[in-house]
Amino acid sequence: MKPVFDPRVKLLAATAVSTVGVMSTSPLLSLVNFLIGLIMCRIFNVELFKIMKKMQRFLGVCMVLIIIQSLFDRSGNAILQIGQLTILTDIGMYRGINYLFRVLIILISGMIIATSSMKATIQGFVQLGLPYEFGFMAGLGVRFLPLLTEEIRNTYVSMALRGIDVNRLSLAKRLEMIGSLFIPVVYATLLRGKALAESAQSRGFVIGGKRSTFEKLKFEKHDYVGTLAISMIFAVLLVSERLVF
Amino acid sequence: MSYITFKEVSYRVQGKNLFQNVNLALARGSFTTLVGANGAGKTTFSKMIIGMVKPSEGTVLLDQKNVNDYKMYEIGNKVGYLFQNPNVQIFSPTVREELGFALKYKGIAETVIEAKTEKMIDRFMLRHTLETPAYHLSQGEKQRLALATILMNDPTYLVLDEPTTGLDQKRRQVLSEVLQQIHAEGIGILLISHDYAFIRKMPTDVLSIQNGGIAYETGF
Repeated sequence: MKPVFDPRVKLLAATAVSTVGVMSTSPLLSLVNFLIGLIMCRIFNVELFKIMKKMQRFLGVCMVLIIIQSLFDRSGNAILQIGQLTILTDIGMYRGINYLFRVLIILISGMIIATSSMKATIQGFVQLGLPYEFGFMAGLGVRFLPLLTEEIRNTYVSMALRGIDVNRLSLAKRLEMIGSLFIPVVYATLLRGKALAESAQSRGFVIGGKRSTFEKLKFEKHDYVGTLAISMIFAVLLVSERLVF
Repeated sequence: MSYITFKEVSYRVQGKNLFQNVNLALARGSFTTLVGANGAGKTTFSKMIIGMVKPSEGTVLLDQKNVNDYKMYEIGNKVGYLFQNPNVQIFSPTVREELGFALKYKGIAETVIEAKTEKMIDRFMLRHTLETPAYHLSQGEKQRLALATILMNDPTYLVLDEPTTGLDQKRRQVLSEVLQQIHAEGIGILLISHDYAFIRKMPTDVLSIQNGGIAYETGF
């Protein structure tokens, strides 16, 4: 049977992998970090392919943004030119690859944290000495993500069903129309936040209030091993960022 | 002739069959209501008509063509879909702008938009809401606005997911009359509802989703 890790180990893993992801300027280090992230997904039982399949549209948009970003980067040597026009440079390409890994690493971090229940994650935050509200907010974010995704999808389809052929619109009109999509999305998010706040307050939830808990998290042997392994691997990666990559 | 056709449609979710081998034909101009318990799959079924949910097996035809072969905007010009939550359907700050939203982008003349908008404002009793920001309307007003906006597009068929949610008795009566008028104008309607008191007043066939199948209900 696979060991079930303490949420604090998962928080450490997510923090470590995303820290290296953000700090790395080398595509090679980002690739190594990404591969370690994938191994962690396996260890922490993340249903990676299932989640990625659900997010394929979002990933598609990320890919397009990364490609555009690479194309607009003028620094470095040209590797693709049409006449006098430089389309892609080596540095632009490296940066694009780096951005891609960063996006994937952030997603992986979220997926790792989401493998623990909201209650356990909040308890992990509290026992790490972090404010309860941080854990509560992170937990809520993870829990309501599928609901918000569904609402955003409904909003998008609802606009598409207005029967407007977007391809026939000018760029300005297209942008104006896309801007209108944000109205219901932001409104729905604010509304849900308000409802949540009212619901929490009606149950006596007060920000800054002192809370007691029945369940305390306890580190097992595999949690100590995990913490040590993650700390060592990422210490090596951070040092090598300066020395090797 | 059938306008919406389900051919041997099955839908599985998490290994469980929600429907199996469903065959159904909804004629142009027909009025049908779909009832069923919570979680029976009424909304999923209705979303197949607009291609938002793809069947695990079988095909859904819209106007004799596989719904997956249409672009979403083409479906929107044939079918108007009212979501359960009207908040996802409001894109403009005012009621008037919201009603004219699609027609403006379609390049329809301002005078035509204005005339249609006025007609919808009266038909759906929205005149008192013209000074109110669209997001400050009540749930029932938003529901009526969303329905009016859909009708601005002149769809051939309407799919309405729980349109009576949040409506008081008077507004339900108004909606009932409006739906009957729409139907009399030749627009087909598929109503998804739990509201049996509301359904009984309608000249509608009633279908029920249960045990993975869809059957006509009698005794309404």
